[in-house]
Amino acid sequence: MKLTATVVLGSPLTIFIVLAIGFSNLNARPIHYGSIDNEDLNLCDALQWKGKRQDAEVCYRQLFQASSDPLIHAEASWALGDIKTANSLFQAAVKSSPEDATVRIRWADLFMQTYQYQDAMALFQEALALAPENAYARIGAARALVERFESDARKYIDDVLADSSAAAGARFQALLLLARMSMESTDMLSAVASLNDAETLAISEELPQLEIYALFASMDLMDGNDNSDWISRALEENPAYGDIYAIPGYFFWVTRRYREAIELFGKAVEVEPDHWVAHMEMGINLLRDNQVTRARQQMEIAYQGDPYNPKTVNTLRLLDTFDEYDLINSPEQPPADGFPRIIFRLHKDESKVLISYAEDLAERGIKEFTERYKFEPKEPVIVEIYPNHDDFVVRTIGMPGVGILGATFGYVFAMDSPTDHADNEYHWGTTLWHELAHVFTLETTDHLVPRWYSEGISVFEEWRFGPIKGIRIPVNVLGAMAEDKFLPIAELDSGFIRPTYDEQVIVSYMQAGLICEYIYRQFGNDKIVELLSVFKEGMETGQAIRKTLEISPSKFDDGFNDFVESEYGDLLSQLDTWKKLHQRALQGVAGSDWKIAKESAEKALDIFPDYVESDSPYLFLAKANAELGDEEAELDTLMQFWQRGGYTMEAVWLLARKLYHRNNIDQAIKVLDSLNLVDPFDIDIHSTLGDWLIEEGKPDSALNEYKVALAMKPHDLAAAYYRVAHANHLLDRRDEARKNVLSALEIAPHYRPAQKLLLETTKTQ
Amino acid sequence: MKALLITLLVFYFPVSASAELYVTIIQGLDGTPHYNQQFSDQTETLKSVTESIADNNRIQLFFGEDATRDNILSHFQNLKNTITAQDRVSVFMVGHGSFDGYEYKFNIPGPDLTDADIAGFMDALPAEIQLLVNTSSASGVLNNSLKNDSRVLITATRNGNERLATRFGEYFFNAFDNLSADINKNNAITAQEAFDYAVREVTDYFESQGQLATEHAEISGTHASQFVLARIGLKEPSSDDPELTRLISERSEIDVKIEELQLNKSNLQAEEFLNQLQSLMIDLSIVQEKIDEVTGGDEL
Repeated sequence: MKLTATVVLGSPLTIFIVLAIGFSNLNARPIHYGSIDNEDLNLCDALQWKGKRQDAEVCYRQLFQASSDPLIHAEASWALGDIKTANSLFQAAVKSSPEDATVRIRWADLFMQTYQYQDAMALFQEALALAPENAYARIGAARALVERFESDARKYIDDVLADSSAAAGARFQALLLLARMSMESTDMLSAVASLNDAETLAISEELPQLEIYALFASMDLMDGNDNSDWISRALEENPAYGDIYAIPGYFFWVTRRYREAIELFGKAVEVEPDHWVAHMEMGINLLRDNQVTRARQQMEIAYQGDPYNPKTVNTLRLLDTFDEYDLINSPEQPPADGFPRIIFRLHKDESKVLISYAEDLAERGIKEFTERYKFEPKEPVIVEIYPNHDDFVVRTIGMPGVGILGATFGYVFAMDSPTDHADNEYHWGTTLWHELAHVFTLETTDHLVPRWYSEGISVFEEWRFGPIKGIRIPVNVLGAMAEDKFLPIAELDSGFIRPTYDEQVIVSYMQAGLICEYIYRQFGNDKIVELLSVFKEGMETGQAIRKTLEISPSKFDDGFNDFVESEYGDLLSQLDTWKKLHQRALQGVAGSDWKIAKESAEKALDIFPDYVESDSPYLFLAKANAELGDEEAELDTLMQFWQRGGYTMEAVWLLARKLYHRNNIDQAIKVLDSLNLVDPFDIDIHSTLGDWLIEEGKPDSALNEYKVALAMKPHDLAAAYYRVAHANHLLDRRDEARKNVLSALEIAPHYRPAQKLLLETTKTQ
Repeated sequence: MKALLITLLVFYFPVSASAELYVTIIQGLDGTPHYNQQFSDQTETLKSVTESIADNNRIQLFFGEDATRDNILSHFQNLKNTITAQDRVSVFMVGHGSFDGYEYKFNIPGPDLTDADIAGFMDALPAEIQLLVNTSSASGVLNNSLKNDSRVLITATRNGNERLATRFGEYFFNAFDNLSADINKNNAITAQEAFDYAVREVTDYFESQGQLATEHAEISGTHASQFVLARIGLKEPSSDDPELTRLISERSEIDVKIEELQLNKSNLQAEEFLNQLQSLMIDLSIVQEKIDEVTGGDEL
């Protein structure tokens, strides 16, 4: 069947089709490199890939009318931007051709475009079940795994490249994928090699080379070459190829250079105004840069063009919730020629509770980091705390469902609220400290710091200077250390970006933290700072180590391994013993065999004194000591647990109460106060802390606690108002004392303490 | 038991000299040792507080093998024939309930008590002032047939579909001697206060567990805020002390003025309201100080 470029007008069906797909985005459908081979479709595709958009649009519409094949209908709908219809048509195509692997592959490609990688993977696997040798299915599976940062992708890619009978288009995609993965790991040499191979293949097989140009352009731009020839080459071939900017935009955003990404996505939509994904990505990156109004504008454009993109919808919904947040400056009145040091975006239901603790901690952090890293922020630091975890994740990557606690984009960072974690295992103060450190490492290096070093400094900061000091390494990471799974420093980034086993990311975090600890101890804080400045110059890790520490990366690895051995060698060699003792202590507690529990816990602590999680042997030992009637030992054990960074609510509360009853009120206050960085929404903490602070003659601090309690609208409001009134009275703040005591009495006119306070305050007046 | 002196008192409505309080406590089947302990603790608390203000022969506790349908219905039949309109009745049902889409059942040995049974015996009682508290699962069904203005009705669930064992009862009875449940600090725990306290505790419990709530308690009856269930530290006023009687009367007058002011709040500027409130509160506080002097500082 031959098509012409002339639209067949006049028939009702034609008109209907024109109307139904009026808003089209001709570049909604990625280049498929031959995964579907249909002569008529190829004709239209060729027009599209050359940027002849009007001709291509006419062609696809004619094709839709003329063909009776549901697969071709689906392809045409997709090409014309009607993804919903395309989805239904693919479904119909699968029903009519259940044995045709190509139909499933192309449907999977549609799911890939809409970020539904799991569904895509399922279809690729169905295709492989039908046709195990189909290279497009294999490379499709690889693409789905790459998007999910899963390590198995490489297996599929290698299979395709090793298969000389694999379709050229599939091999080409494999090379592009390899190049992309190398670029994400900043391994540009490998990326260039893959692209050169791809170019050779493209030329010999007459495949479109636009993506090669875009990837080469990405490398040029990331290297500081703003006038990349690859851009003009691409636009010459296809003047509407927005991806020549959008693809580099992607690489800038994954390497955290959000401002540059914004600019590139902006250029993408100039070239291709209906590149809805570019509008969406621009919006998301504007949001990362706290440009909320512009972000919303871009998201709304993206939504108008494609209302089914989940990232667009999720982000717009998130933006709608911003009305529910308070924006709080710190200081409230910045200097006339300056700016607030910090701006908090806190949910209205939580702001009055979180603000004093968040502000204290963030202010301390900024002061220390400024001094330690010799960098003064040039803009306000924006701290966003989200009570809804999915909102926070959408804020971060546009889609819900990821288990991270915090994310930093530059001067802006977002994190989970403590209310999002009912189990009290989340130490939000530590997360705040961690993310704030990222602000400094990113901004001082213009976002050029490698991932491992930024994470390493953040973890190191948690351990050394954060709100709960002490090196805390999870047991599973110790297990990995015992199996010698640490990476050479020059490869550490890959542990974060392309993990090859389940726990490699957390292992990499801990390794990075230990590396920074090692550098700090062996070479001094100055070298930590110097490394940052060297990364700012654009050096990769190996060069940076050589220049700063004047040793080779492998020598560094040797020194670091010696450090790990000296610090953890004993523990690692006894890890299995520790686990057994831990288990024995736990069983002792469960069976109320306190002597066994005590003995086993003590031995476990000798081996691993730093283990302070919620199942720490300290807690078993404290319990055993209590049951055996040794209160002193119980107190001492709880104190050690707390001093080493333990923050299990029940245990810390118990410690605080015991200290209080022993009249060690000052220490009791410090202990109880530490729980505000775990669960500041526990009213009892504030009431009790406030009462103790009053006893210690600190009404100012008590007032803060009482105000936080009041902000939580406790059940006993009269008592809460009374406490605030009392503290204000002690501080001689008469108006506030009066106002609050009357609020108490309005609820409870017969409240004796409030009545007495009223008489006292009015007597004074 | 509790350290504080707790008495169960139902008052507020003008009563004749012969008005009496009749309390019925029904402890249903528990099913497990855990619930047995829980229900027993709750009914013991109830019995203990009623014994100090009501005659033993006006308190009836049904538990174990005695808590049969026949015994309970017979009891209410007798009660119907004994009490007057001026008397007051409190009924507490502590146990498990069920609902099959048609009928609610309170689980007791032998045939269960149905919602029709409960409505039957409550409606038959001549007492104008009634309280029914049912802390069982699915107890919300009772709202369909037992709700009326003059009866304070408290159920642990909002309908029959909330079928899991409830936590409401535990918190409700804890309120009886909990200072933080006494919202208006008048040393009296009303049905409304105990209910509000329990509801809040239930909500906090589910939030702390990161779970959706499986129960939503309900309260109805216009007098819930005045229906006192327990008083903390009450001493009966001495009726032969004219000065004390005068002061208590003066205090009551000020209370009325405060209530009027509160009702008029929306018609006043904020500062004017506070000024008037302050003036009345000072008066109230001074009178209370005098009462304390006369009584030797005891809570009244």
